[in-house]
Amino acid sequence: MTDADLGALTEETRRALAEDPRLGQLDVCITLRGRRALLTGHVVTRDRQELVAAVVAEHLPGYEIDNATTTLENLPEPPDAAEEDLGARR
Amino acid sequence: MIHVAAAGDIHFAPDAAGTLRPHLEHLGERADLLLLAGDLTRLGTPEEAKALADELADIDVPMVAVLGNHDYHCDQAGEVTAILEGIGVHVLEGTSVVIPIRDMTVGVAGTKGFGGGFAGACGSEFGEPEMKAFMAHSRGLADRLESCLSALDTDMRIALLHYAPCPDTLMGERLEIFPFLGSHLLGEAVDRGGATLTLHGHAHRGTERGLTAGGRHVRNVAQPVIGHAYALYCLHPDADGADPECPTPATAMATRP
Repeated sequence: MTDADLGALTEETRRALAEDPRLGQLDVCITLRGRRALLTGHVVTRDRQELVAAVVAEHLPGYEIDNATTTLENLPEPPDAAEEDLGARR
Repeated sequence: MIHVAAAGDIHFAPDAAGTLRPHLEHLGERADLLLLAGDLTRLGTPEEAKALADELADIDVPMVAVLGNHDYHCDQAGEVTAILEGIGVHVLEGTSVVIPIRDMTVGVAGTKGFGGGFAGACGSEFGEPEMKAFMAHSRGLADRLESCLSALDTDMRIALLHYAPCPDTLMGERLEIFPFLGSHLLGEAVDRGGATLTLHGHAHRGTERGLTAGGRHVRNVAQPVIGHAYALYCLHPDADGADPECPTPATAMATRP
Protein backbone atom coordinates (compact mmCIF):
# COMPACT_ATOMS: atom_id res chain seq x y z
CA MET A 1 0.00 0.00 0.00
CA THR A 2 1.39 3.41 -0.97
CA ASP A 3 1.55 6.44 1.33
CA ALA A 4 -1.28 7.93 -0.71
CA ASP A 5 -3.41 4.82 -0.18
CA LEU A 6 -2.71 4.91 3.55
CA GLY A 7 -3.62 8.59 3.70
CA ALA A 8 -6.88 8.00 1.88
CA LEU A 9 -7.75 5.05 4.11
CA THR A 10 -7.02 7.06 7.24
CA GLU A 11 -9.12 9.97 6.04
CA GLU A 12 -12.01 7.72 5.05
CA THR A 13 -12.00 6.18 8.53
CA ARG A 14 -11.72 9.54 10.26
CA ARG A 15 -14.66 10.79 8.22
CA ALA A 16 -16.69 7.73 9.19
CA LEU A 17 -16.19 8.55 12.86
CA ALA A 18 -17.34 12.11 12.30
CA GLU A 19 -20.36 11.23 10.20
CA ASP A 20 -21.58 8.06 11.92
CA PRO A 21 -24.99 9.08 13.33
CA ARG A 22 -24.24 7.22 16.55
CA LEU A 23 -20.99 9.09 17.14
CA GLY A 24 -20.29 12.49 15.58
CA GLN A 25 -16.76 11.97 16.83
CA LEU A 26 -14.32 14.58 15.48
CA ASP A 27 -11.50 14.26 17.94
CA VAL A 28 -9.93 10.87 17.38
CA CYS A 29 -6.56 10.66 15.65
CA ILE A 30 -5.91 7.52 13.60
CA THR A 31 -2.32 6.46 12.95
CA LEU A 32 -1.62 3.46 10.70
CA ARG A 33 1.66 1.60 11.16
CA GLY A 34 2.09 -1.77 9.48
CA ARG A 35 -1.11 -3.70 10.18
CA ARG A 36 -1.85 -1.82 13.39
CA ALA A 37 -4.14 1.19 13.88
CA LEU A 38 -3.42 3.44 16.87
CA LEU A 39 -6.38 5.55 18.06
CA THR A 40 -5.71 8.56 20.30
CA GLY A 41 -7.77 11.45 21.59
CA HIS A 42 -10.67 11.99 23.98
CA VAL A 43 -14.18 10.57 23.95
CA VAL A 44 -16.85 11.26 26.54
CA THR A 45 -17.98 7.81 27.65
CA ARG A 46 -16.72 4.22 27.62
CA ASP A 47 -19.65 3.29 25.38
CA ARG A 48 -18.46 5.79 22.79
CA GLN A 49 -14.90 4.54 23.21
CA GLU A 50 -16.02 1.02 22.28
CA LEU A 51 -18.15 2.29 19.40
CA VAL A 52 -15.17 4.22 18.01
CA ALA A 53 -13.12 1.02 17.93
CA ALA A 54 -15.98 -0.87 16.28
CA VAL A 55 -16.44 1.73 13.53
CA VAL A 56 -12.69 1.82 12.88
CA ALA A 57 -12.59 -1.98 12.69
CA GLU A 58 -15.39 -1.92 10.07
CA HIS A 59 -13.34 0.41 7.89
CA LEU A 60 -9.94 -1.18 8.49
CA PRO A 61 -10.51 -4.94 8.17
CA GLY A 62 -7.39 -6.91 9.00
CA TYR A 63 -5.93 -4.17 11.18
CA GLU A 64 -5.26 -4.71 14.85
CA ILE A 65 -6.90 -1.82 16.72
CA ASP A 66 -4.89 -0.24 19.56
CA ASN A 67 -7.53 1.94 21.21
CA ALA A 68 -5.56 4.45 23.29
CA THR A 69 -8.38 6.98 23.48
CA THR A 70 -9.23 8.27 26.95
CA THR A 71 -12.65 9.00 28.37
CA LEU A 72 -13.89 12.10 30.17
CA GLU A 73 -16.35 10.14 32.29
CA ASN A 74 -14.65 10.58 35.63
CA LEU A 75 -13.07 14.01 35.43
CA PRO A 76 -12.43 15.38 38.93
CA GLU A 77 -13.64 18.71 40.21
CA PRO A 78 -10.87 21.31 40.29
CA PRO A 79 -9.07 21.60 43.61
CA ASP A 80 -9.36 24.96 45.41
CA ALA A 81 -5.75 25.69 44.56
CA ALA A 82 -6.59 25.47 40.86
CA GLU A 83 -8.64 28.66 40.92
CA GLU A 84 -6.98 31.34 38.82
CA ASP A 85 -7.05 35.00 39.82
CA LEU A 86 -7.53 37.16 36.73
CA GLY A 87 -8.08 40.47 38.43
CA ALA A 88 -4.80 41.62 39.83
CA ARG A 89 -3.30 44.62 38.08
CA ARG A 90 0.45 44.75 37.90
CA MET B 1 -14.71 39.69 43.30
CA ILE B 2 -16.69 36.94 41.65
CA HIS B 3 -15.90 33.30 41.06
CA VAL B 4 -16.70 31.85 37.65
CA ALA B 5 -16.97 28.15 36.86
CA ALA B 6 -16.66 27.28 33.19
CA ALA B 7 -16.57 24.27 30.92
CA GLY B 8 -16.98 23.55 27.24
CA ASP B 9 -17.30 20.57 24.96
CA ILE B 10 -19.33 18.44 27.30
CA HIS B 11 -20.79 16.57 24.28
CA PHE B 12 -23.61 15.29 26.44
CA ALA B 13 -26.00 12.50 25.46
CA PRO B 14 -28.14 10.00 27.35
CA ASP B 15 -25.21 7.57 27.56
CA ALA B 16 -23.46 10.07 29.89
CA ALA B 17 -26.46 10.52 32.23
CA GLY B 18 -25.43 10.91 35.84
CA THR B 19 -21.80 11.84 35.15
CA LEU B 20 -22.11 15.63 35.34
CA ARG B 21 -24.65 16.23 38.09
CA PRO B 22 -22.48 15.08 41.04
CA HIS B 23 -19.87 17.75 40.20
CA LEU B 24 -22.39 20.58 40.08
CA GLU B 25 -24.77 19.88 42.95
CA HIS B 26 -23.00 22.16 45.42
CA LEU B 27 -21.43 24.49 42.88
CA GLY B 28 -22.80 27.53 44.71
CA GLU B 29 -20.27 26.92 47.47
CA ARG B 30 -17.44 27.48 44.99
CA ALA B 31 -18.73 29.72 42.21
CA ASP B 32 -21.19 32.53 41.52
CA LEU B 33 -21.83 31.65 37.91
CA LEU B 34 -21.56 28.67 35.55
CA LEU B 35 -20.60 29.37 31.93
CA LEU B 36 -20.86 26.69 29.24
CA ALA B 37 -18.80 27.28 26.09
CA GLY B 38 -20.66 25.26 23.47
CA ASP B 39 -20.75 21.70 22.14
CA LEU B 40 -23.12 20.94 24.93
CA THR B 41 -24.46 17.90 23.08
CA ARG B 42 -23.04 15.18 20.83
CA LEU B 43 -25.22 15.73 17.74
CA GLY B 44 -27.59 18.52 18.74
CA THR B 45 -30.76 16.46 19.21
CA PRO B 46 -33.58 17.39 21.62
CA GLU B 47 -33.07 14.02 23.32
CA GLU B 48 -29.46 14.91 24.11
CA ALA B 49 -30.43 18.40 25.26
CA LYS B 50 -33.05 16.89 27.57
CA ALA B 51 -30.43 14.56 29.07
CA LEU B 52 -28.20 17.57 29.74
CA ALA B 53 -31.10 19.60 31.13
CA ASP B 54 -31.79 16.82 33.62
CA GLU B 55 -28.20 17.16 34.87
CA LEU B 56 -28.33 20.95 35.12
CA ALA B 57 -31.81 21.37 36.58
CA ASP B 58 -31.87 23.26 39.89
CA ILE B 59 -28.13 23.95 39.97
CA ASP B 60 -27.75 26.71 42.57
CA VAL B 61 -25.92 29.32 40.45
CA PRO B 62 -26.98 31.27 37.33
CA MET B 63 -26.09 29.39 34.15
CA VAL B 64 -25.18 30.95 30.81
CA ALA B 65 -24.35 29.02 27.63
CA VAL B 66 -23.63 29.32 23.95
CA LEU B 67 -24.10 26.51 21.47
CA GLY B 68 -21.26 24.92 19.51
CA ASN B 69 -20.99 23.34 16.08
CA HIS B 70 -22.09 19.93 17.41
CA ASP B 71 -25.28 21.52 18.75
CA TYR B 72 -26.19 22.58 15.21
CA HIS B 73 -25.51 19.23 13.52
CA CYS B 74 -29.11 17.96 13.41
CA ASP B 75 -30.55 21.37 12.50
CA GLN B 76 -32.49 21.50 15.76
CA ALA B 77 -30.60 24.28 17.53
CA GLY B 78 -33.89 26.04 18.29
CA GLU B 79 -35.24 23.01 20.14
CA VAL B 80 -31.94 22.52 21.98
CA THR B 81 -32.02 26.16 23.06
CA ALA B 82 -35.64 25.96 24.20
CA ILE B 83 -35.00 22.87 26.32
CA LEU B 84 -32.06 24.48 28.10
CA GLU B 85 -33.87 27.77 28.57
CA GLY B 86 -36.72 25.76 30.05
CA ILE B 87 -34.55 24.93 33.06
CA GLY B 88 -33.23 28.47 33.39
CA VAL B 89 -30.05 28.44 31.30
CA HIS B 90 -29.48 31.74 29.48
CA VAL B 91 -28.56 30.59 25.96
CA LEU B 92 -26.85 33.42 24.09
CA GLU B 93 -26.34 33.96 20.37
CA GLY B 94 -25.50 37.52 19.49
CA THR B 95 -27.15 38.49 22.75
CA SER B 96 -26.13 39.29 26.29
CA VAL B 97 -27.38 38.92 29.82
CA VAL B 98 -26.69 40.94 32.97
CA ILE B 99 -26.42 38.97 36.18
CA PRO B 100 -26.34 40.71 39.55
CA ILE B 101 -23.95 39.07 42.00
CA ARG B 102 -24.01 40.56 45.49
CA ASP B 103 -23.31 44.31 44.97
CA MET B 104 -21.89 43.86 41.46
CA THR B 105 -23.14 43.24 37.96
CA VAL B 106 -21.61 40.85 35.46
CA GLY B 107 -22.44 41.15 31.80
CA VAL B 108 -22.00 38.11 29.58
CA ALA B 109 -22.13 38.52 25.81
CA GLY B 110 -22.18 35.31 23.83
CA THR B 111 -21.94 33.85 20.38
CA LYS B 112 -20.93 30.55 18.91
CA GLY B 113 -18.54 32.43 16.69
CA PHE B 114 -17.05 30.77 13.63
CA GLY B 115 -13.80 30.07 11.81
CA GLY B 116 -11.76 31.93 9.23
CA GLY B 117 -8.29 31.95 10.72
CA PHE B 118 -5.87 34.39 12.24
CA ALA B 119 -3.65 37.24 11.13
CA GLY B 120 -1.49 36.31 8.18
CA ALA B 121 -3.42 33.13 7.38
CA CYS B 122 -7.12 33.86 7.23
CA GLY B 123 -9.86 33.80 4.67
CA SER B 124 -11.55 36.80 3.12
CA GLU B 125 -14.90 37.53 1.52
CA PHE B 126 -13.66 36.90 -2.00
CA GLY B 127 -14.32 34.40 -4.77
CA GLU B 128 -17.00 31.76 -4.70
CA PRO B 129 -20.33 32.45 -3.02
CA GLU B 130 -19.58 29.66 -0.52
CA MET B 131 -16.34 31.32 0.57
CA LYS B 132 -17.94 34.71 0.83
CA ALA B 133 -20.79 33.22 2.86
CA PHE B 134 -18.32 31.46 5.18
CA MET B 135 -16.43 34.63 5.97
CA ALA B 136 -19.53 36.82 6.09
CA HIS B 137 -21.02 34.48 8.69
CA SER B 138 -17.85 34.77 10.79
CA ARG B 139 -17.77 38.56 10.46
CA GLY B 140 -21.45 38.94 11.25
CA LEU B 141 -21.18 36.97 14.48
CA ALA B 142 -18.06 38.89 15.55
CA ASP B 143 -19.70 42.26 14.79
CA ARG B 144 -22.73 41.30 16.84
CA LEU B 145 -20.47 40.20 19.72
CA GLU B 146 -18.72 43.55 19.73
CA SER B 147 -22.03 45.41 19.79
CA CYS B 148 -23.29 43.32 22.69
CA LEU B 149 -20.09 43.74 24.70
CA SER B 150 -19.91 47.47 24.08
CA ALA B 151 -23.51 47.96 25.20
CA LEU B 152 -22.91 46.30 28.57
CA ASP B 153 -22.81 48.83 31.40
CA THR B 154 -21.67 46.39 34.08
CA ASP B 155 -18.83 46.00 36.56
CA MET B 156 -17.36 43.15 34.52
CA ARG B 157 -17.79 41.97 30.95
CA ILE B 158 -17.29 38.37 29.89
CA ALA B 159 -17.30 37.11 26.30
CA LEU B 160 -18.57 33.55 25.99
CA LEU B 161 -17.73 31.80 22.72
CA HIS B 162 -17.33 28.36 21.24
CA TYR B 163 -14.77 29.19 18.54
CA ALA B 164 -11.43 30.69 19.55
CA PRO B 165 -10.60 34.42 19.39
CA CYS B 166 -6.81 33.97 19.33
CA PRO B 167 -4.27 31.37 18.22
CA ASP B 168 -2.60 31.09 21.65
CA THR B 169 -5.23 28.74 23.02
CA LEU B 170 -5.04 26.53 19.92
CA MET B 171 -1.42 25.55 20.51
CA GLY B 172 -1.32 21.75 20.38
CA GLU B 173 -3.76 21.58 17.50
CA ARG B 174 -2.48 21.10 13.94
CA LEU B 175 -1.70 24.45 12.36
CA GLU B 176 -3.58 23.40 9.19
CA ILE B 177 -6.92 23.40 11.01
CA PHE B 178 -6.58 26.75 12.81
CA PRO B 179 -8.95 28.43 10.29
CA PHE B 180 -11.62 25.93 11.32
CA LEU B 181 -11.07 26.57 15.00
CA GLY B 182 -11.45 30.31 15.32
CA SER B 183 -11.14 33.78 13.91
CA HIS B 184 -9.16 36.94 14.52
CA LEU B 185 -12.43 38.79 14.04
CA LEU B 186 -13.63 37.43 17.38
CA GLY B 187 -10.42 38.63 19.01
CA GLU B 188 -10.86 42.12 17.60
CA ALA B 189 -14.46 42.16 18.86
CA VAL B 190 -13.30 41.15 22.33
CA ASP B 191 -10.63 43.86 22.37
CA ARG B 192 -12.92 46.62 21.14
CA GLY B 193 -15.77 45.45 23.35
CA GLY B 194 -13.58 45.45 26.45
CA ALA B 195 -14.11 41.94 27.79
CA THR B 196 -12.51 41.25 31.17
CA LEU B 197 -12.34 37.56 30.30
CA THR B 198 -13.12 35.53 27.19
CA LEU B 199 -13.95 31.84 27.38
CA HIS B 200 -14.16 29.38 24.52
CA GLY B 201 -13.97 25.68 23.73
CA HIS B 202 -13.86 23.74 20.43
CA ALA B 203 -10.09 23.04 20.44
CA HIS B 204 -9.75 19.80 22.38
CA ARG B 205 -5.99 19.56 21.88
CA GLY B 206 -5.37 23.22 22.57
CA THR B 207 -4.00 25.16 25.51
CA GLU B 208 -5.92 26.73 28.39
CA ARG B 209 -4.34 30.19 28.60
CA GLY B 210 -3.96 32.86 25.97
CA LEU B 211 -4.29 36.54 25.16
CA THR B 212 -5.96 38.47 22.39
CA ALA B 213 -3.83 40.82 20.26
CA GLY B 214 -4.89 43.57 22.66
CA GLY B 215 -3.74 41.59 25.67
CA ARG B 216 -7.09 40.46 27.05
CA HIS B 217 -7.36 37.20 28.94
CA VAL B 218 -8.62 34.20 26.96
CA ARG B 219 -9.21 30.73 28.40
CA ASN B 220 -9.92 27.55 26.45
CA VAL B 221 -12.22 25.62 28.78
CA ALA B 222 -12.80 22.55 26.61
CA GLN B 223 -12.99 19.69 29.11
CA PRO B 224 -10.14 17.72 27.49
CA VAL B 225 -7.95 20.80 27.91
CA ILE B 226 -8.78 21.73 31.50
CA GLY B 227 -8.77 18.10 32.67
CA HIS B 228 -11.49 18.78 35.24
CA ALA B 229 -15.26 18.88 35.23
CA TYR B 230 -14.95 22.67 35.12
CA ALA B 231 -12.37 25.41 35.56
CA LEU B 232 -12.56 28.13 38.22
CA TYR B 233 -11.61 31.77 37.71
CA CYS B 234 -11.66 34.73 40.06
CA LEU B 235 -12.49 38.16 38.58
CA HIS B 236 -12.19 41.58 40.18
CA PRO B 237 -14.43 44.52 39.25
CA ASP B 238 -11.50 46.89 38.76
CA ALA B 239 -9.76 44.69 36.20
CA ASP B 240 -10.40 45.40 32.54
CA GLY B 241 -8.79 42.17 31.38
CA ALA B 242 -6.09 43.84 29.33
CA ASP B 243 -2.48 43.04 29.96
CA PRO B 244 -0.87 46.48 30.39
CA GLU B 245 2.34 45.25 28.82
CA CYS B 246 0.60 44.30 25.61
CA PRO B 247 0.04 46.85 22.87
CA THR B 248 -3.43 47.84 21.78
CA PRO B 249 -4.60 46.05 18.62
CA ALA B 250 -3.90 49.16 16.55
CA THR B 251 -0.32 49.35 17.84
CA ALA B 252 0.14 45.63 17.27
CA MET B 253 -0.96 46.00 13.68
CA ALA B 254 1.33 48.97 13.17
CA THR B 255 4.42 47.25 14.54
CA ARG B 256 3.91 43.87 12.93
CA PRO B 257 6.47 43.33 10.15
